[in-house]
Amino acid sequence: MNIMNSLGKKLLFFDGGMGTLLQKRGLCSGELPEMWNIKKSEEIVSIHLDYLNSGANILKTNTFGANALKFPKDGETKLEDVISAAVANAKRAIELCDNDNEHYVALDIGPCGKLLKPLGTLDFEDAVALFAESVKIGAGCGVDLILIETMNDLYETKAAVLAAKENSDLPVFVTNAYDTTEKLMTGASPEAVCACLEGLGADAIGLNCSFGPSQMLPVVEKLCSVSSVPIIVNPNAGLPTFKDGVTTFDINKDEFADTMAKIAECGAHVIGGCCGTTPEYIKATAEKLKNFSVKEVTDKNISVISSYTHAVEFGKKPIIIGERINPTGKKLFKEALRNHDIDYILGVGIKQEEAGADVLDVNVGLPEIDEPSMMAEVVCALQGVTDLPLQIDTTNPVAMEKALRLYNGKAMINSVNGKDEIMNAVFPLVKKYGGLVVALTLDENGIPENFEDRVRIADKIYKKAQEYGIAKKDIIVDTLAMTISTNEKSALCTLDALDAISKKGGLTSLGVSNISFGLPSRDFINAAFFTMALTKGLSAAIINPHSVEMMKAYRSYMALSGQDENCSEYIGFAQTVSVSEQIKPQSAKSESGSDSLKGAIIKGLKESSYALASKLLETMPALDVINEEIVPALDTVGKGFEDKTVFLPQLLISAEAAKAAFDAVKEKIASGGGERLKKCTIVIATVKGDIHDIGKNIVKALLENYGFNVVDLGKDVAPEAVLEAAKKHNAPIVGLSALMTTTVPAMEETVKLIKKELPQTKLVVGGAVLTKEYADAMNADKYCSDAMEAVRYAEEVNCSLKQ
Amino acid sequence: MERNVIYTHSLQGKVTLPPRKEILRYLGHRGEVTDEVNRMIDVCLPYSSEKSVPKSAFVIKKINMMPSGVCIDGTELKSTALKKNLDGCEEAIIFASTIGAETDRFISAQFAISPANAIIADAIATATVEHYCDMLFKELGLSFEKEELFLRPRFSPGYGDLTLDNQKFFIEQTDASKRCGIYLTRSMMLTPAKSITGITGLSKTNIGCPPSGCEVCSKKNCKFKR
Repeated sequence: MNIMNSLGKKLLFFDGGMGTLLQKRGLCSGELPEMWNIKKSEEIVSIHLDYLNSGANILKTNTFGANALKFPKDGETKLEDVISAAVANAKRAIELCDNDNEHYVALDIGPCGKLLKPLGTLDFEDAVALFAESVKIGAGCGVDLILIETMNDLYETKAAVLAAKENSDLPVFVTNAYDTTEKLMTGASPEAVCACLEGLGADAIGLNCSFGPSQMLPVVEKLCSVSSVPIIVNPNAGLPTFKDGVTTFDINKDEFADTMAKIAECGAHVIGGCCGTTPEYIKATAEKLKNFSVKEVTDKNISVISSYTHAVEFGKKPIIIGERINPTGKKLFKEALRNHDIDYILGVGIKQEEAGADVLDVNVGLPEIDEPSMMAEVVCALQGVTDLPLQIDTTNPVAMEKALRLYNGKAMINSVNGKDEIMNAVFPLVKKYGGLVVALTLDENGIPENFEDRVRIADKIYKKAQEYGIAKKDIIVDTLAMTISTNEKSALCTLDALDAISKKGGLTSLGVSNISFGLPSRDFINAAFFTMALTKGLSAAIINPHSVEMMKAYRSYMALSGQDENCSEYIGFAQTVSVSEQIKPQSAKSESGSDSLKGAIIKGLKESSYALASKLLETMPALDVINEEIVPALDTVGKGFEDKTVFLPQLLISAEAAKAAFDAVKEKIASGGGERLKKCTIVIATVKGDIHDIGKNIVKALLENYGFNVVDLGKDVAPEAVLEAAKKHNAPIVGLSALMTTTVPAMEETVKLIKKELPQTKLVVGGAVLTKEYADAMNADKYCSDAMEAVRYAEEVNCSLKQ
Repeated sequence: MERNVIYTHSLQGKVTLPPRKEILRYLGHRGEVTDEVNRMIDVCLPYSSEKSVPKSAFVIKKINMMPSGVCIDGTELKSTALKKNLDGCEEAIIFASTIGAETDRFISAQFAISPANAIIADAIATATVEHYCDMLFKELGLSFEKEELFLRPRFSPGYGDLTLDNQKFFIEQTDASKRCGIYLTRSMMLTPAKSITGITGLSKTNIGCPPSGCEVCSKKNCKFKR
């Protein structure tokens, strides 16, 4: 029997908890419950049978923690034996059960017990591989479905679902553990989880564990309102909590059943229990809901993308997609890509978020860089610092797949077009990973000059998408803004096509600024065109959110079209905009001016430092600006820090002001070319196993502002990776940081490796638990107790290199 | 309160802000504070508290004194400092607390745009999780007074001679991964970063206002020592 025939058509019952029952039968503290599949199989069969007799349709195998981390290859008990015994126990119970219910075995997969990067240390692909092992074994044993449960992190959930999909054809059910804030522990809302899991092709989604059924109701309601697949609800029998000096406990079976009835009415299709629930709870629930008919599963037809925290819906208010993460026409951005300056790219992203972008476009294509690996790195790094959903913008299918795979959520994809070759490359990826894909109205014959043909291409793309199982709701058509400087009718064609597609219920998007290519003061045209497109129903626009003209047009349109209650967004925006063309970020402050650049840096005035440096550069060579103004100012503050009259925050504030001045210098050099001003290269890293990088980041900030070229390898860096970077960048100095006693050995190992392979390289070490004695013992060249000391040492080495 | 039952505790939208004195201490600040630093703290505080999702799990267990440590549930925590801390107690509260993962992301984001903001956000977060634990234990202290039991200062892995390897015990005892989203890395670090595990003795005698935090730690070389 296939569960898909019943799923969503009748109420199905999961079994309840396993852990508490095992404890009652004698499971000791610290003993792995999964071992009982082999050691005490009769107990497991008996628990399963109790559940079947209580009315459960689906048994969860006793494999919650059965993964390769708990049962490693070289361990005493093989993972394969644990899982196959567990499946055999469930099947045996079904054989023994004599009621007429339909019965299924679900391979139970729980969290692996490690947090994934960037918050933790487990690699996404390692997590996929880990789950894949369990899936392969379980599928081989003939389970009926896979249940991924109690996942409190969206990223880990995605890894498990991918593993299930890639290694079996079985139905995949997913239940997440939400907390009292109605989000997952790592921040995802029910809507975000739903978007991501539906995108990945989960067959049923829902929630389990965490707390009792009544606390689950609000999340169930949310899921039911957005999900187009059946809903599963497996609550605990309550949860002991301590709140305001009062303790609360589990609820009894009848209270449980009563609330489960409400949950079923709310729209759940599969219900059961988790921690603390017993066959009695399931029996009470199953009896109460014996003749219950479930709500029909309907396609909610929502066009949505998501990040690891929230979903962004298209088709309601127009969505702003920030275009700035893109090297086209941007010298500094190109330089950042070539120098692997990820922080620069992150800064561009965060600033767009502050300026009001809803989504960030990510394009890192440059002919001389490895786009797939750069794309993957940037996507992961951005998701470490911003919770905006991303639009993966690339023509490279390898980069696209890598990014979609690693992306935490359901991404937007830029783009597909009417060419068969492109559709055949892109649609399988959209189908596999989920996504809302931008469809450009061009094909093998180029871009049509009349709107009818553009609409025809859109229809062709919709049709082809459908063949791949991709619904119209996941396609957003770009009717292509082409410059009016070469064809004065081109804007009209774009708008007519847009209008036609909107009227047919399709989503639309435009790269707005293309309209003015080749014209002066492009923002004037862009903004007017943007407004025209908005009135035709534009669903999303790729624009520069720092452009005052564009944001003026957007906020005004929203206010005028009745989409801005009390005009509050507009008023808030209007207050941040002066008559000039700059949008001030929310955090910007008004600075009292300073006459000299040196003074501005000492006071930590970012904007003044930039302005004064730019002014100085008009008359003074860049190197003099650095050596006579920036560096002496930094030295003054640095000396104060060493004398303990200035503290770390002020030191960093001045460092940031110096950075603003350096930016002015960089821009000057990028436009003029030639002059070399960097000091030597320093490779820095927080050692393997160590995930606390604050100290390293402080050192990095200071070194950069003293003009050093810092290659930052991040945290949890293997010795080999440090060596490779030191070789590649020919760095005379390597800096290592370790915060905890447990990671000092990794530092020692790294020092040893570098000393052996690159004896000339100076090794400087630091970190909370480190002392000079430790440093000497591991044969490092220098121990630094704070960031300034590291700068002084780097200066010293840099000088000796020049001589 | 029940023994051997894991309780959870959470705060929603009512985190009281940590004392400024503590934030400054984690910033390594001594002496006078400039207006600029104060202003930056003021700007950062509301964002930081918005990102905090304080959660705890704790369990009350019997403890047995061993020659060089303390035994709980068949596991020995080897530490003479801990033994001294729990001296005279028959039970203890084992706990794990966190302010959640969003704080980590917030601090990383600040590093990409302003290192000065980032260290301020980091110091606020450290002060917040400590402050949250203080609040929780104050609440627990009041509860246990009804049972005529008094709380000893909390003690964490890494204090004195209680090595970090013991983190595993605390995470498992409190089921912290499932209940609070706290995970342990291979090198015994807690993720999210702003998380605390530890143990607090329950004593029949009230030794008055107990010292906690730095005062119970025997480390001499810690930069943040009060």
